[in-house]
Amino acid sequence: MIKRKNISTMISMLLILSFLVTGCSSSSSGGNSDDNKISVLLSAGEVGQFNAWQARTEEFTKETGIEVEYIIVPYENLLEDITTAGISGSGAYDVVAYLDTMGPSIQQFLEPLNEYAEEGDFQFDRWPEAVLNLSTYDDKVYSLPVRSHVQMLFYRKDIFEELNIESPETWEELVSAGQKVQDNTDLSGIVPYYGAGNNGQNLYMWTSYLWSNGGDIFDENMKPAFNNKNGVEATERYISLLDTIAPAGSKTFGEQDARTNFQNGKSAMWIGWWWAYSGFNSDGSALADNVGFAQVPKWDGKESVSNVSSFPMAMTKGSKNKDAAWEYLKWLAEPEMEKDIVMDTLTNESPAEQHSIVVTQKANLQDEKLNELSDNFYNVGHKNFQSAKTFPTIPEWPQVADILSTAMNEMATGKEVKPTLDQAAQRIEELMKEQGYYE
Amino acid sequence: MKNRLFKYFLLIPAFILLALTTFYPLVRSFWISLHEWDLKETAEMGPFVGINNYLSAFSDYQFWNTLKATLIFTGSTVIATIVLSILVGLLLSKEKKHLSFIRAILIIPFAVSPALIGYSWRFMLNPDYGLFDQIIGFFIPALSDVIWLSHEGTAMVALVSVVVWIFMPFISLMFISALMGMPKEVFEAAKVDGASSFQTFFRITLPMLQPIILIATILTTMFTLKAFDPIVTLTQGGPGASTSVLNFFIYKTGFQFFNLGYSAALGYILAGITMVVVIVYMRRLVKGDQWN
Amino acid sequence: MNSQVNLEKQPKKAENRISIRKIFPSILENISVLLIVLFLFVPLFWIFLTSFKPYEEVFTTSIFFQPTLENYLAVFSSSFDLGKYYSNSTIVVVVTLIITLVVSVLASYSLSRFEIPGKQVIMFGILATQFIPLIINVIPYFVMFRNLGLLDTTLGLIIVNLGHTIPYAIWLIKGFMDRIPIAIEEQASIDGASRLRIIWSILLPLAKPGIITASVFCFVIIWNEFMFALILTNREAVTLPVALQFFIGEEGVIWNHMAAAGTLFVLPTVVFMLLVRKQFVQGMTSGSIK
Repeated sequence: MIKRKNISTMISMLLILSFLVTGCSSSSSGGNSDDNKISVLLSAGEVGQFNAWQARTEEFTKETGIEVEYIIVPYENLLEDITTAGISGSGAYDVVAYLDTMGPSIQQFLEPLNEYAEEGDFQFDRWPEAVLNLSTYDDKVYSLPVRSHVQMLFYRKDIFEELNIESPETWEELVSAGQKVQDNTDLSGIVPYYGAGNNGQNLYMWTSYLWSNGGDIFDENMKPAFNNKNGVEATERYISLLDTIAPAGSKTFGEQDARTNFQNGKSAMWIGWWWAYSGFNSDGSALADNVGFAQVPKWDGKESVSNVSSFPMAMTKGSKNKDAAWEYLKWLAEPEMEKDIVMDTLTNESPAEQHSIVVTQKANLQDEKLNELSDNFYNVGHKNFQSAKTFPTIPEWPQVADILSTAMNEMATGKEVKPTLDQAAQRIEELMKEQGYYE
Repeated sequence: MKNRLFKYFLLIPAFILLALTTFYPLVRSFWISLHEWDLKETAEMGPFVGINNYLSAFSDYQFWNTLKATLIFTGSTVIATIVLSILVGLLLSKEKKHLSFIRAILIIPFAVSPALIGYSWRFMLNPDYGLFDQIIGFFIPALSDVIWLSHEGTAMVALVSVVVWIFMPFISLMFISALMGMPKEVFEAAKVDGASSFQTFFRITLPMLQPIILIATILTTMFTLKAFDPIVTLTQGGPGASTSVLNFFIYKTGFQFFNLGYSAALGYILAGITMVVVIVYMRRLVKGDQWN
Repeated sequence: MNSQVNLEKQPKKAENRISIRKIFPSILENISVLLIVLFLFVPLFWIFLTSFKPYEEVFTTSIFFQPTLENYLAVFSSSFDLGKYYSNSTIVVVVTLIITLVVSVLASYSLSRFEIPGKQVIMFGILATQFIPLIINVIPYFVMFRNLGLLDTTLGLIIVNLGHTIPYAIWLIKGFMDRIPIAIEEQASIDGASRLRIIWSILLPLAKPGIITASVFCFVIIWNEFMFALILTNREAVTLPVALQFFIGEEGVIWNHMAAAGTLFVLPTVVFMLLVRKQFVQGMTSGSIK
């Protein structure tokens, strides 16, 4: 008797449990099969350009009848999200934004765009070669670099004028300018960022030293080349900023820490992404109208080489509305679109959250009106874009960057340059060998 | 007769749920660890490679680096947490009004999201505008020029402090309640016998705390080995790779380098290490029959 | 006997209190208490303070500034769907907690009261599931949920979380039940009450502090669970810890907004903790010492 009662109570408890479990399941999201609707994956974090696109999407829908749904995920989540959606082949997203360094590993989930471009007479060469390279794997273009950044030198105009310093053109001038600043003010000369991790942020400024000195990360056989004479010389110069004009804190800094340091008036120079310029000049910024910009410095008698990074837009292989997705990509890439957004920013006609200074197309970079409004900012940017090289677009890059970034940080925190680079080179060579590069 | 079936009926729901939510994925991931699976190349699992993934760990310099970092990190975090928690326990277990208030709010830090805490500490240790950096510099001028995250040693100290910060409140509460629950007569008798407070602590309090110390050590060890957010937010494994612990390395291998098979194998190696450590503790627990 | 000892000791205590030897340690003690409180609460206070700072002051040590609610307004803005994240988190926590507690109470009762062959092994096995770094389970879960259509659902997260909470809950609650004298049940059993009735009306009230301890512990685990929520959700079922990541962008951490969201995110936990703190502390004592 008692037993049966127990069992029935048990069963009813389990029933309640399972009811609870099923009761709270929410509907799962499947792919779109609707012809006239696409979903676009963007990253969160107050990107003005993305907000401006969203604000203008109504026009696109009116023109083409294609509805666009935006899905915003955290920036740090982007790679996992594209990958997991790709593995499941659900076609959850038709268009995705991604960071260039993720490209090679998610390439398998993306649709090459060359055929679409040929059919519609769409020209890829509207973009500078360097950023286009970042979207190209195995000679095929997989994404449109509608959001791209270039490294530039930023300096404090007010201080440079007061101390009668010219904006430095060579790495030597950079150090002497920095020293003059340090002799006369409490500011540091320049604030680099040597901190490890964060997708190898500490490598961008290093490559400007390396490439301008004729060095490179890999040679033509994909063997590490950064530890040859030019490479060691460049790296020593880069690290030795710590002995002269860089604050000790920069050993741990990531890009954001260094930018904040400059923004807070602790250093007189900073080399970084150009989009920061709008932040320096924004309302309430302590530096408003006091920041100058220039090309990244070079080695005496050699050429300046900048580095670029892109946040391109791509079509997914799993997309069930590829034609609509292509229409959308084309719309994003319209030169007028880009120019309008920036123009509205410079003339303050758009709300602050849609402000963006990103211009990627050659014609727009040289546009007279844009340059007039921006004190020639885009002409200087154009030069940097043209001189720029890019990190290798190989699937192993995240691992290579990890080894290099760690080594860079080790050298900044006291290890000797040559042996550290040699060790990094050896590790990278082993990795490349394992991946079958030298067969 | 009745009991024999009944006791299993009670266990069934928990076991079904555990089987579905834990054992099944564990078996699956173990299966993955025996395969090559490079997500950069293919979305499907690759060929069976036996224990190759496990073997390659032992020839991977990064594995040995992270193992060393893991041992240093875990060892110092566990010791610091336990010692500090006992001290906090002793300080806060007295019957006083203001202490009772502090005891009440002590648990709050444990409940804060570790990611939020990681960023908070990162900004507080910044040499330019970091609050803690300046407080330390103010009280101990000799340390004012230390850039906490820039040296292997100090970065580890900072990381350990943050993880101690997260676990200490919870572990302290365990000690506080144990101390407050101890029979007062024993201590009074010791006092009458003329025992100094040091003698009382080492001869009476500590032995009585033993079971809690063991449990607290197991919990802290398990949590420390799993710590992830503090490393991502605070050091990213730097300077160099000195704070790149195994759990962080597994994440990088699996979700940044997309080497899923290897990543799963590393996970099982970490599990093995944890298992060994815990079995050593458990032996003592079971032998002492203090918590069965 | 006790009262006698006390009587003898009280005058001694009063004498001692005056001597310097006694005052000095007491000052030291108070300073140490103060240091502990500062160490534990300054970071929290700093997050709270930052949440009211205007953007220009975020990366400074200023304590006096023109406080602003802008950060909170940004958190409540339409692009950040706080209400949805909150309700997702709440659903996941409540349902997981209820299921966890029900099955764990039953299981720990059985493990505590009956002879079960290989009990030690079972207990160790339950704990051992927690040794394995969660991260390697992500892919199996992902594939499994894809096939079941459970990706991006709160149900999926509940299933995942159950695997993390049940083992701890069984350990904590069983340790507590071991302490409750079996005689109480035997009495009730003789009176003819069924086993489940005994558990419900006699054991549960006695075990309340232990159950509360387990709830607090599991609450914290579920509420802060990040890794699985990050990968297994993307739109519909996003929970608060993942939502915090929305304040990290290309530019880095938007710390003032994150601090505001973080403050709102911590609030329920603080309330929950304060509500149950009495039983919680009790539960910890009784559950751990035999």
